[in-house]
Amino acid sequence: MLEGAFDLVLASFLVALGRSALQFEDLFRAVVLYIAYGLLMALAWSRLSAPDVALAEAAIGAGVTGALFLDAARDLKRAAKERKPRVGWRFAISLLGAVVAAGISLALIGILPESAESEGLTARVGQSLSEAGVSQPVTAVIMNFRSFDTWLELLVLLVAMSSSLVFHRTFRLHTLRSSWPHSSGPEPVLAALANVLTPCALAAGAYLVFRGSSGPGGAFQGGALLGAAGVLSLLRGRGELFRLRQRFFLSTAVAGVVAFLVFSLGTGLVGRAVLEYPPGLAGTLLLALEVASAVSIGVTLSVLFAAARPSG
Amino acid sequence: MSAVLLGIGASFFFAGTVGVLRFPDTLCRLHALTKADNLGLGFVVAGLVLRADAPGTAELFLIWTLSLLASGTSCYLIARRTLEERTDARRSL
Repeated sequence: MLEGAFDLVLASFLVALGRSALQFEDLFRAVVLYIAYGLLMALAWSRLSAPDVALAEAAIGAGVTGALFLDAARDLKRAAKERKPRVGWRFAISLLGAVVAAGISLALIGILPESAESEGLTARVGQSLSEAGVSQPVTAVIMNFRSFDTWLELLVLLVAMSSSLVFHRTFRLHTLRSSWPHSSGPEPVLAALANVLTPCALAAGAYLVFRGSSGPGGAFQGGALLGAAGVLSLLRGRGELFRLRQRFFLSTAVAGVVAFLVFSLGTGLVGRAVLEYPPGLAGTLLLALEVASAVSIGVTLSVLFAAARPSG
Repeated sequence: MSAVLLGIGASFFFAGTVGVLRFPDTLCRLHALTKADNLGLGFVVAGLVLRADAPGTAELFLIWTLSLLASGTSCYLIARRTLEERTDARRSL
């Protein structure tokens, strides 16, 4: 009963935070509320027994996206104030939103009794889990049973990174300067914190990638932490990303997509179905693909953050 | 005993939140936020340590240390930025 009360409070806070994040005209306040919303959403996911999703939501949804939104809010403050749309439009849109919400709620109430009894795909995944090479079902689904989807997601991330670089006209990462262009000088405290935390974040990210084989974790969660480590290294203010050169970056960012490409060509040439893991090597190959994916996810997230920084 | 510590931690958090909402000034709010919330977190961690096993205790201490580092640094940065904005505002008068 206590858990039910907690869940109810959590759900009502989520709705209230979502409403208030959209309410304020002050962009900074809206972004902070959005970050709080992301953290509560991560709590909600862990209450639903989905720790992998909770990890990804906390790291990417609240963390990296929050940082990107803060940058965008700072840049947009100098833009012109927009007018509110007319009352008629607002009424129509809120009516449409209410209809959609009501429809979804009715559909959920309709299928809820059946879905509470069915096990979903858990049984089918459990049957094939022994051949999957890992013991965590979520990782097995992402990296083995639906690996084609993961490959395409990595491609989407690559496209996002390239568009961001083109949009910000920052093909040269070495033009990044200090991260605090508006303040009076360098931030030694922030630099010291980033010096301490970057290796911790790198180690935690690597640990999450390897732990994905037997527990919650995996390529996306570990990659999100590696992206956070990249953001931290940018906040040191020296304008360098892990002290690496730009050429190295763009090549590590494609590592995930290329690894999947090599793997698919390999399985095709050997005579198996494309992307089908050979039974003995499934665990090792899956781990290799996960490492490549995590590296490219981390680099992509760091570059997405870096490209938004003002240069010079 | 654990419940007592958790309750004390919760009351510190509550007091800190009241301070954030009611204090007039950014710098005062920072006092309430960092001091009360860090004390609250310390009590909550102490209460949870009494219930946890050895790896859990290590994880809790790690969380506590990282949280202290992060909140201390962000408090300093917010305070510095507020001072800069005030000095700029005074100079432009």
